[in-house]
Amino acid sequence: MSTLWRKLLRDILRMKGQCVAIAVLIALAVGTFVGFASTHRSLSSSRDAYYSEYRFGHVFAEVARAPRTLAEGLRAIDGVESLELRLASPGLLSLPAFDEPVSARLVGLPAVGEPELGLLHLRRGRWPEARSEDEVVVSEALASAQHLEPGDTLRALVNGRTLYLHICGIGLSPEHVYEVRPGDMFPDNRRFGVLWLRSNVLEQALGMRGTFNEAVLRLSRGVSEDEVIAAVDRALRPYGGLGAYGHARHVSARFISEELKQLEAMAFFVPSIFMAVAAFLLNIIVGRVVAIQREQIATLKALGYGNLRIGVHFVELSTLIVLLGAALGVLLGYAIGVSMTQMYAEYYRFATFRYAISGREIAASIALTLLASIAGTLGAVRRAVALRPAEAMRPASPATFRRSLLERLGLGRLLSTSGRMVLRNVSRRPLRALSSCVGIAMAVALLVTGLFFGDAMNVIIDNQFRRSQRQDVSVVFNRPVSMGVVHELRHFPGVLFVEPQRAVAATLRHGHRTYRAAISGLVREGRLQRVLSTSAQLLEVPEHGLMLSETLAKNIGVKVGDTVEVELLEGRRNAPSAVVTAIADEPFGTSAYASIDTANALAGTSPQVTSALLQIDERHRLELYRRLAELPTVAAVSSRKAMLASFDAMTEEVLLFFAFILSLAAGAMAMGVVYNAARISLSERERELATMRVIGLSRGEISVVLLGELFTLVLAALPLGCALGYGLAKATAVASSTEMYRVPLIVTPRTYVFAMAVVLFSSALVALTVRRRLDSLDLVSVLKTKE
Amino acid sequence: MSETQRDTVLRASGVTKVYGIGAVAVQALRGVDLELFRGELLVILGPSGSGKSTLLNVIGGLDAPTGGSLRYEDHELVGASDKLLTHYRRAHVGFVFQFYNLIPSLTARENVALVTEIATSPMSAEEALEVVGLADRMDHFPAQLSGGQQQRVAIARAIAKRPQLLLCDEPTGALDATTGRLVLEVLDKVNRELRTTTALITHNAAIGAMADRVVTIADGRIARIDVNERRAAPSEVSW
Ligand SMILES: Nc1ncnc2c1ncn2[C@@H]1O[C@H](COP(=O)(O)OP(=O)(O)O)[C@@H](O)[C@H]1O
Ligand SMILES: [Mg+2]
Repeated sequence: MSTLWRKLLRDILRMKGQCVAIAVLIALAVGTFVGFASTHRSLSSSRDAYYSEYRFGHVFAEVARAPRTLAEGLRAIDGVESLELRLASPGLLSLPAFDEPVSARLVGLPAVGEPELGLLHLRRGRWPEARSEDEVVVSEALASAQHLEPGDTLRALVNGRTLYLHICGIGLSPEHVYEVRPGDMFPDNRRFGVLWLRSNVLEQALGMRGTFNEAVLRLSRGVSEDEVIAAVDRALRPYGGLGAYGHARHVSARFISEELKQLEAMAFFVPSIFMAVAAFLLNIIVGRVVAIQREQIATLKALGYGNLRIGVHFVELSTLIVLLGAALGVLLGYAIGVSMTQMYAEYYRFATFRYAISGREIAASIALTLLASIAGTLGAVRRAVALRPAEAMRPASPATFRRSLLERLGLGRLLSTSGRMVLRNVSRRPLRALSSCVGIAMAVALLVTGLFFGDAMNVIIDNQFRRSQRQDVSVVFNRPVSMGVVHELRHFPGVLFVEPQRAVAATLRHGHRTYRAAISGLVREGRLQRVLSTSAQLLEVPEHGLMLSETLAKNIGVKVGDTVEVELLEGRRNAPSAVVTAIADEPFGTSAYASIDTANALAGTSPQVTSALLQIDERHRLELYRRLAELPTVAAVSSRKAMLASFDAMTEEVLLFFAFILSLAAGAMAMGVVYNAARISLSERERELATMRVIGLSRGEISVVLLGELFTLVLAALPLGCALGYGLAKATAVASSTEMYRVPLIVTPRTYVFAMAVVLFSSALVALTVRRRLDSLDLVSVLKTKE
Repeated sequence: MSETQRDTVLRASGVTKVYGIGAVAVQALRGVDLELFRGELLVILGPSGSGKSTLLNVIGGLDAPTGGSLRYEDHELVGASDKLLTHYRRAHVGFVFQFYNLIPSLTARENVALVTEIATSPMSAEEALEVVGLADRMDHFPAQLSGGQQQRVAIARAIAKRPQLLLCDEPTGALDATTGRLVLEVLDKVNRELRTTTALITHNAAIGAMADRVVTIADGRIARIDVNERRAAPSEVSW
């Protein structure tokens, strides 16, 4: 080992506290990057592998009822490589030992053999026998949430008919990686699941022999999806086609790709913050090392060491620290990746979901780290190299001070001597003070951002499911039913109030832009369902015309006053036009609202409803469920309370996980910056402080000078951090908002207070250790060594 | 002094050095002409602020003169590139400073090794420390050594590369008489045994007695050069 290397190692050992602080920050940067990026890649490659191996479709279409003889025509569409026609239906399950209704999607398998597209992966058990009347494969999510096993029996209500089904297998499908009830955001695996059975069972139950109501197509390479979609729509229109769509619009696929998008944003934002702060700390530390080692550098030069070698020496110093951090970071990244993958595996079910860390992520993070390290040290190294040896040999000239701005404003008299020293020190190196301040502020900002996610989610859920929707139970019908049903429901046991809704399936067209939406016809000034804005303002459903959510309005490029064509996907299938009379600034989704009368008028039907919201007397809940299950027109029954519980569980787990990681990291960051600032001031001012002690000042009095400086920085950083945090929260909100939901920019005072408290607390911890060092200041040796 | 010894190693002619510009400019050297002869021991005397250190730094390639010429063997040092100056220092010049300038995080042996690792045909670090009589302190850190011992480590470090020129700026300035004499003895020994051309700055005129020649500098100029008939032993130098 060369002697310079030995010097390097000893220098590092001497500053181990500071080096560790930087290494930890680098580890956090590398760890979050590697963790998020590897999870991103694992998730997306698992998805891609699953989709291609299990033949996930490219185009999907639903239709009311079409003859299977259409198969030939559909296959003949240019670019269609394979086709799967099937029956599917909603159903209600009753499970032993579970009182609440469980909704299900029942999917027909070919009467014999396996489907051509959307293959099942059997975890356990076997396929239903050919043409079996009662065998069923249950989705893994439902099976594990409800502890169902092959051999168990369940009762299903489909189209008013009761089926007794035997579970023969537990399986998964690429179409239900994210297994969520249609219209829901979060999975509730205890109350929703997918069942696969032989199509003859469904044909019988639905009375749809020789027909299909779902088509899935896989296309050959390089085929225009849009053209196929148009052709499929033409073919299915006469049979009640609901509009074909590409896999980007497929619910499960969409959730995954939006999750990936968010992960990508995280993999960029979070590590950048840590990296920036780490680079800044490196800059300060290496700068300080160069300042302290002025004479050593000159001596090395006098001995004949060249600029390059000396420059390299200091780059090596930072590189070593950084590599140590990067190594730790890769381990941390692996841990983050593994636990995120585990968490994802609960919500995204793949046949195989393998987590792997790739050399590419490691190499990229190390390259980034080295870059940051070089960027962080370049200035200091340049200063080291630029020193003329003869000049460096002389002690640095005393720092020039001047009276601080406050003093020049005449406020100096208000300050004690130590107060003045604090101010002058801070203002002597304004750039460094500012960057320390920004570093600490970053920690506050990171916390604000981390916690903001929780705030935002709470607000979303609170708005959506406590204030916007207030029903106890919602009932979805499998087709539009007459208003009479509403009256009937009023007399069901325990029902206190009924609010009807009318959803109209349609494609909204504005110019050449279209969007397939369900227009929700709501009761104006409804009690149970209200539309709320992002800031929780009540938005009134207009009497005439449509109210579109902002996202949808942007999507098809309309503003208030524009007219859209409503191409009906049901009933007469004509295309009345409607005026957009309001735009809703909503956190969720791409919705279109109308008054229930307008909705029915657009559909051109007599007053009909598609779902009903109920307010009930809890004591009769189970009895009500039983009665509802008997109605042949009921497709799904769900309880808001149960939904809320599942949301809460999910948000708690997912969001707290991220918030917790970020908070820990931010605390570490604050400590790192404050600790470094303290150590640097201490090393710069040891002599001065010792001299003050020699003159007769007490330990407390000299601490005031140093700690006062630190706290000035911290105090200045707090509001700055809150402001930065707000900005960062805004950026993350924008980056992670998707078509499915917009993250509202809401930061609660509690979040600010908590973020500041964590940083203050971390700083106080550091101040304590600094105070201990000050107390043990060795006066004689400090004064003896020449600066 | 025989004629063969009057072989010039370095020749300074009309060297000037100005620090700063304009009103605050300080003329540290006002045209110095000086030759260093192979193997001689030269003592430089002069009041504080007269330009001694500046001259030595310029000669050693630590500082660039403002004007004049400096020839080391066949090379012109004035206006030379940083690369050439680094090479010059690395290959030919050894420095000893008033405050030793050891690297505090390295032991005595390692401080010397710093040089032996980059020189072309150095003696070993152990050998060099042997010469200065510190064979038993090789693994001590600077903080564990007395001032005199530190200065001897610095000398060992300076001579380990077997330099042509050994430049010492007040090497005894921070030492008491006994320790100072010990250091002078080492320098005298190195000069005699290794025949290293040695230039030694001091403000103690008595040290001049042990030199071949004594140069007196005043106000940035050479005031006089005295040639000694006989070099006194360091032990005879009064303090
Ligand atoms: N870096 C510098 N900047 C300005 N003036 C300097 C600098 N170095 C030396 N001087 C001035 O040059 C003159 C000679 O200094 P120096 O060579 O150190 O003298 P000596 O070593 O003889 O005491 C002095 O007046 C000194 O103040
Ligand atoms: Mg001097």
